Formats: sequence, C-alpha cells, structure tokens
Amino acid sequence: MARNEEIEQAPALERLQESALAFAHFLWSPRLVYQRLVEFPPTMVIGGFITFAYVVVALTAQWWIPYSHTAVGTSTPFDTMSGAHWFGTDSVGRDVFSRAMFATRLELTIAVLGTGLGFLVGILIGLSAALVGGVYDEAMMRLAEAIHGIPTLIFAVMLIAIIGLTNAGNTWYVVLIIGFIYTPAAARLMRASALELSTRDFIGIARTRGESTLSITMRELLPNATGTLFVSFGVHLAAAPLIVGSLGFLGIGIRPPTAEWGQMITQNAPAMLSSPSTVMGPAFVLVGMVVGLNMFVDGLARVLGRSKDLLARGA
Amino acid sequence: MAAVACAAPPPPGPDSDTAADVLVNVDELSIDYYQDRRWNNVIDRVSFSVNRGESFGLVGESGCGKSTVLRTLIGYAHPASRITNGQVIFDGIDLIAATDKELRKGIRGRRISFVPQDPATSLTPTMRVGKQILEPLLTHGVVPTKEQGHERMLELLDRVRIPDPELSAEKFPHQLSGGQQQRVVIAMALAASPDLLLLDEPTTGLDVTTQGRILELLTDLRSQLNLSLVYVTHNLAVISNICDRVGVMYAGRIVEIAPTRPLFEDPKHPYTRGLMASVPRLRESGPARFAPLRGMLHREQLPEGGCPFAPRCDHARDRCVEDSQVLEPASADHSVACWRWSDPELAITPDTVAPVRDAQSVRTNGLAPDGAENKLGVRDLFVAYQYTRGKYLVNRGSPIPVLRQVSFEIQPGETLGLVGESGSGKSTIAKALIGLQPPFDGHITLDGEAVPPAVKSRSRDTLRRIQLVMQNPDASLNPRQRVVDIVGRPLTVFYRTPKRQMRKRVADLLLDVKLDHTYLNRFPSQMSGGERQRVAIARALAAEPEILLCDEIVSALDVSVQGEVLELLRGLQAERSITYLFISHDLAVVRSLAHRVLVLFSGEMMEIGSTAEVYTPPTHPYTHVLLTAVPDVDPAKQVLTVEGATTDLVIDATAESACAFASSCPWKVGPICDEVEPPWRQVSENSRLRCHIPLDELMDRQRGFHEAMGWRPGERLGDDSPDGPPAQGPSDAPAGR
Repeated sequence: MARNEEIEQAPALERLQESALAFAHFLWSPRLVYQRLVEFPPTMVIGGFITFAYVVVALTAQWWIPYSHTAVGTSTPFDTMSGAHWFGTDSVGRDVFSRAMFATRLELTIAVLGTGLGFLVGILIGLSAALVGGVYDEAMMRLAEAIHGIPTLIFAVMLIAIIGLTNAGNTWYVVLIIGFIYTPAAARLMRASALELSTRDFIGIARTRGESTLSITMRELLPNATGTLFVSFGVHLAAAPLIVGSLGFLGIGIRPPTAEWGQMITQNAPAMLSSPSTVMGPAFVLVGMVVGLNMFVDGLARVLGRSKDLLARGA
Repeated sequence: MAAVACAAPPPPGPDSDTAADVLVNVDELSIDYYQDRRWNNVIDRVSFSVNRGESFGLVGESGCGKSTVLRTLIGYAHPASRITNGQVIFDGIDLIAATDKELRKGIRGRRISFVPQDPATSLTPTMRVGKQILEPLLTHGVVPTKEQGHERMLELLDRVRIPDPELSAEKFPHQLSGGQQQRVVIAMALAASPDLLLLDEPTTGLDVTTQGRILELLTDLRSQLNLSLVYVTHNLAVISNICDRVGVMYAGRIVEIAPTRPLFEDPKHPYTRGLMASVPRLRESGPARFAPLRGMLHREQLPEGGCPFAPRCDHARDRCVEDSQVLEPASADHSVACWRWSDPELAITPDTVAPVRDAQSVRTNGLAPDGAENKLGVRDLFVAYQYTRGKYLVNRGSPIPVLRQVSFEIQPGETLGLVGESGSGKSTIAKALIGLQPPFDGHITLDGEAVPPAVKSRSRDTLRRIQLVMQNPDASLNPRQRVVDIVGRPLTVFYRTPKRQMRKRVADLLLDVKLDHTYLNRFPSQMSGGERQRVAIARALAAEPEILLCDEIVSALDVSVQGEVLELLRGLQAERSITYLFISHDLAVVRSLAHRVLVLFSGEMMEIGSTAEVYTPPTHPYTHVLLTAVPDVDPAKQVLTVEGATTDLVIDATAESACAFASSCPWKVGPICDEVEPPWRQVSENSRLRCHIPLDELMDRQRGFHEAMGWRPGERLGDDSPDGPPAQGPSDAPAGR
C-alpha cells in the first residue's frame, strides 16, 4: 500500500503549496539566494536585474511619476535638468523623465507582442516547411531569404509605405511591422532545428508507434526545439526596442503625444546643446533596456548550452 | 620485476626500484576533481611501475579513473583537477613538477606518445595524412629537412602496414577506413621514436577483425622497437592479449595488480573475479566461474574510508566498510587490495566451479520446413538507398543495394542472432522489419500473414506486435520527457490506458526491467547508460510485443551492466516467450543469448544456423575470420593469427563480385568466386552456408585453430551442457539479484 501511495502523485494543490513554501523559505535565506545566484553567469544575473527593473517600472510608472506624461507647461520649454525635472522638459514643457518612464510600458509591450507575433508565424511557417518539404519548402525559404536580405529599416519603411502614413502611428501597426521583420528569421531557425530533430532516434520510435505527424511534432519535436527558440526569441526581443526607437526617430513610428523614446530623441534634438539631458535621458533609458536584455539572454544561452541544466533543478 | 612499490612507506626515492629497468614509476598518485562546489577524490593512491620494454595494462569499467591516470603520464591534467599526493617519475624526470615548456620540449611526443580512442577526431580533417605525420617529425627535430622527413614518413606508414604509403600519404583522413586512420595515429605517435606509448582504448570503436590486426601490429612494433606500452581499456580480452602485467582499477584505486597469466588464471580480488565472470565468452575457458558483478558503481555511496567495492561484494564483512584496503603482496609479484584474499571462503573450490555453458540449445531442432509455424518470415529482402541528384529535375541514379536476398525465419520464442561488422546492413534489417526503411523488394510475414513494407501502411496491431530497441538510449529517449511519459506513451497509443492508471502501470513495467518507481519522474539525463537502456526496453515491452528487435542494445554498456541486461532479456523471454532478433557485432554476446545465428557481410547472408554449429567448423570463411579475430580472455588461448591479408577488410557495396566476401577472403578459390554465385551448402538440418569451398575442405582448414582453442572434433560447443526442458529456457543462472 505504501508503495502505491508513493507511485500515485500527490494532488496538484498540495504539490503547489509545498513548492511555494520551499520557495518562500529559499527567498528568506540570503545565503541560499547568493549561493544559487553565483551558479549563474554574472552577465545573466546583472542583465536579469536590469530587465526586472524595467518590468517593474513598466507596471508601476503610472503611479509614481512626478508629472502626468501628457501634462504640458510643467516648466519652461527645454528646461535643463534639475531636482524637479531630472531629465529636463521638452518643447511644450512636459517632464521628460516622467514621459521616459511612462513610455517603458509601451516599449516593452510592442517588443514582446511584436517578437511574439513574428515567432508564432515564423514557427508555423518553419515547421510546415520542414514537414511538408518539396516545392512549398523551397518557396517559403526563398521568400524568407529575400525578406532577410533587405535591411531592417528599409524593409520597415517599405511596410509603412504599404500601410499608408496615416495609419503608421498606430501601436498595432508597429507590432505588426516588428512581427513581419522577425518572421523569416524564426521560420528559418524552426525549419533547421525541426529537420535536425526529425532524424533523431526517438522520432523514429514514435513513428513506429504509428503516431500522427501532429502528435509527433507536439510531443517529441517541439519540446526539444524550445531551448534554441527561446534564446533566439530573447535575442530578437532585446533588439526590438531599437527598431521601435528607430522608427520613432525617423518619425514613422509611434506619434506624439504618446511618449516613445526614439520619437522623444528626435523631438528634443533641437535642445541637444542647451539642454542635453532631454536627449540623453531617453537615449540612456533605451540603451539600458537593450543592454540589460542582451546580457540576460547571453547568460541564458550559456546556461541552456551547459550539460547540467541549472534551470531544470528546482530551488 | 620486483614487486611494485605499492605497500612501501610514503617517501620512496625515485630510485627505489632501479634494480629492474624501471621506465615509469607512479607512486601513491591521488587526484581530485572539482565538481558541485567541492573537491572530490577520483584517484586514490595509485601506484605502479612500468619497466623498459614492458607492456602494462590498466583495466576497469567506465568511471574508474583509468584514463585520468593515463593522462597524468604525459603531464596532462584536467583543468578542474588537482594532484593531491604522489609522484610520477619517468626515467628520472618528475612529470608532475615539470613545467609545461619542459614537457613540450623533450617529453610529449618525443619520449612519451599518446594514442587516443577515436582516430576520426584525433586527425585533422583538412590535412593530408602524410603532412600530419611530417609535423611531429619536424617539431621534434627528428629530421632536419622536409625531404628527409618525407622519406621517414613513408617508412613510418610502411611500418604500420598502410598499403601503398606513397599514395596513402596524399589522402585525407576521411578517405581512409577506421582501422587505417588508427594506424596513421600510431605512426604519428611513433614518429619521434618514443620510449613509452600510451594507448587509451585504441581499438574500442573498431570492428573485431580490424581490432585483431591493430593488436597484432602493436605486438610486433613493441618487439621491434623495444617500446613500453601502457594500455588502457575496459576489454579484458584485449588486455590479456597485449599486456605482460595488468592493474585492475575500481573507483579510482588499483585493487589488484599482477602479471597477466597469474591474474587471469587465479584472480584474487572479488571485483576482478566478478569482472571476468561478467564477460560473455566465445569459447569455454578458465577453470573457475565466479558470480558475475551485480549493481553498479555509485561514487557518492562509497563507504567513507572503507573498501570501495564493499557495497557490491558478496564476501563483504564489517571490516570492509571500516578499514581502508591497501595492496598487499599475495605472491612474488601479485598484489591484491583485499584483506580476505587468503580466506578459505574465497578460495577456488569445486563448488565455485560451474560449467561454462552455451546459451542454450532449446529449439534448435524442429525447425519448421514450411513457413506456417514461423513467427517472423523474411524472404528475399532487398533494400537499397536511392540517391537523387538535382532537386527539381529528379535524376534517379541506380539504387545502391544495402541488403541483397536476405531470407530467414524466426520461430516463436526463439532468438536469432544477427552478426556482422559495421556496414554489413545489420541495422538496415531492423529498420526494414520495423518499417522505417521500406525494402525495394521482398516479403515480410508475421505469423504467416504478409506485413506491408512501410510504417504508414501497417495496422496499429501490426505495429504493436513488432517493437524496436535501439543501440544508443541517449538518442532513442526523448531528453525532454520523464520516464513516466516515455514508457507510458505506447500504453496510451496501443491500449488507451487512462491517465489515472498510468503511473501504476508504468511502475509495473519498470519493475519488469528491475527499476523501481523512484525512476518515474526522472529525465533521461538523470540516469546512467544502463538504466536508460532499461527504460528503452520497458517502453518496448509496454506494447506487449511478440517480436523484439534489439539493435546493438548492449554495445554501449559496461560489461557488468551488459551482463545484467542480457540476463534481463533471457528472463523476459522465458517468462513471456517473446521472439528476439538480436543484432550485435559481438560474437560472444550473441553466442550467450541466441539460439540461431545469421552471419551477414556487406548486405549478403554468409551463413545461418544453430549457434553451436555456426561457432564450430565447418564455418563460412568469413565467420572463421571473425572467430579468429576475437581475442580470448584466457591468456593461455591467445592464438592471434588473423587469416588472410594484413590489410583491413573492405566492404564495398558497389563491387560486382558474385560473392561479396571474395575480395577479402583468405581462401579465395579463384575467378569462380567473382563470377559465379556461391551455392548454399547444407551443414546440417538446421545450418547452411554459402561458399564455393566444399565443407570437408573448410573443416580441414579450420580444424587447427579450433583445436588450439580446446575444441575436439566431433563435439560442438555447448553439447556438453545438459539441456533443461525447453520450456524453462536458459534461465538457470542466478537471476534477480
């Protein structure tokens, strides 16, 4: 009987409670936390902290920013940095710091949704190309290469030309553009890793059970591709704010009065000399996010590449 | 030849042994590895010495530290390791104290050379082999100019018996066979005429015939060049073949050290005995048979300070876990690290002597002439790979055959062994039977009913009845799934087992393969190789198959684990009368399990028959070449004369010969072999072989070898074993421990 009880798994809720307690206990002990953290690459820990800070800012900025992000005339136009206006003010007297902080949410949302969309479509195309093969595969991959060959920004400008300038400022169109740009890369990656995995022995064994292609894909193939896809997702996610910023900088991205870092940099460019913080502030915030995400993903890739899976071991 | 300075007090000078001509002396060497944030001891006070011109072997299972010791001999240390104790003195030079520069200048490659396991990765793929051999010649200043170096390089290639050195020197590594690649590596090692050659499993990845020839070469080189060898391997037979003296390692310690003959005739340490008993034998040999090893090495569970083998030892006493065991001399040059070695309980008495028995000869009689009684029938199987050139305008070349005219039957509850070297098409047969490599032509029948060639066209029930276990469990288990999901999947697919019962059912299946329910939630990476292979077997058993195809399933495992898996297969067959197709390159393993054997060469059947008959004359010339190439564990029976040419066997699928073996055959009759299909000759009611040479003549040619191996004419291997009732099968060995 005792053996049977062990074989039967504990109810889900109990298991959840147990692990929650264990996690709480773990967090309570700085020594344990430290020991666990030093196992990870330092870039990942630092990058993780930076990224985490951005997420916190994105979620809470609206409650603690000193001025509303749209409030005009909080000071003279292009005021220099001061205790009241950390990054100074813009041409209509809006607080640049408040706007920069508030923009974090938009930037993150666009980056995550855009990259997510690109990978979702890319994975579907890549998988189908690998599984169907033949002319479809050829066509899809040549198309992907063609898109890949066009420089990112020029491609974005092309897409905006198609959408029409009137629609270009819409957040959802920016998401769509990011998704479009990332789709080919995701598709090619997915196809390559599906082709490699499909020669593995465990896929062969699954085929001898007479399993359907869908079932093999979902159970055997995709779980083994997640590591590669995850790292690539992170790399692309880290680059997405740069594209958003570039579009804003060129004036074809998010439009004022909505706050967006790239667009703020262009708008405040006239005050580059008189009040440099209005340009440098948003620029630093943007760079911080890109660097933080990159460091995190870089460390993550190293951890996933290790033979011993640090992530798989519970706290 | 004095006793090794193992029990000597700690600070012996490097010259304490100079009476004999000691070349290398390893003294009380201890090494730690850094792992999981602490230093773990992996080598514990290892001491041995190698004399000039002597061949010393280190043998042990994987993880015993034999390669680590070997690397210390060229002053190479793993980055995360530290030497905590001991000395390695090579001809008066302290290799541990020596700086990297000193090692590079005068020692490595110059006086001590290293031959690694896998020649495919130790040669630079983009450099012609001649140039690769030239490199050490020039670096070590053996020759002043390139021109002289070129001459010396050709000499070296000739010395390692590479055919046509001029031509071969211009080839790239991938254009050479595995055996030839290893010869090139040996030539490189010999370039600077070293005193000591270190060999780390140099023949492990090679075919038996190739292995035989490499061993022959090494033996010859040793006598010609007065080389000292340190040979590391897990293969007892190889070590008994090539070494004068052997150290047996277990968990980082030498547990027994002795000259080869006394060691193999009278092993004293329980581990050595178990190791020898675990090796499947090709021929009867040895006066005593001990219980095979049980369990496996868990370094984290070793008793603190005690004998590392105690947890697995049948003779363990309390003292074994308390006291550290040191090597003590049992006779003049035989030392053993076990305080009970002289205990009468461990002595070899008639009680401990069990007759070596053939696997069994259960169903060798009564081979049904018609296909009705057969479980599996295969007729004229023809498999070929079709290469297509161009992607859209398909230009189909003529198919390259991998299997030709393969026909055999397997009866219910029988094991058919399938023997052949790499490239013979063994695995292709398994893939064709399971439907992953649909044959071009031929028929497969299951219980007399035709089976469609491809997986897609087979019914679910047909799929269920044939299951496949593959060679490498690392690749055949999904690394992202837990054991419960891996083993449970066939249950869902074939039996629609509800989720609630799944864990219970899987736990039962795990019990069948001698694993317990604690494995349910593990990932493949959290298990050892043997455990993973058991999970793969459990997955196949979950479908309750009637036929189990085993494709080299024990070749990646250590001998003791291998023995356990074979025992498991035997038990399962006796219990459920599953039919096995057992594919292996290891003749001894096949002999211990199979009722009948099929010998395959280059995709063609050479011989098929009952195990006893295939292993005794008259056999097909190829079978004979295979049998003679396998070294015997018993050093008294080393008749290493590989028949035929000194070059390696060539498998050329495109050759137009009527007999695939004609080009490699030691007894080729003449042009008839190339032009006329060899006839099937009936050796007995159950056995036949395919050769132009009459059976009587084959018998005459092979008699000499088999008599030297202890075979008497008129007797077949295994005939001396009293057969049990067929239904019980071969499982009279102690099982389930």
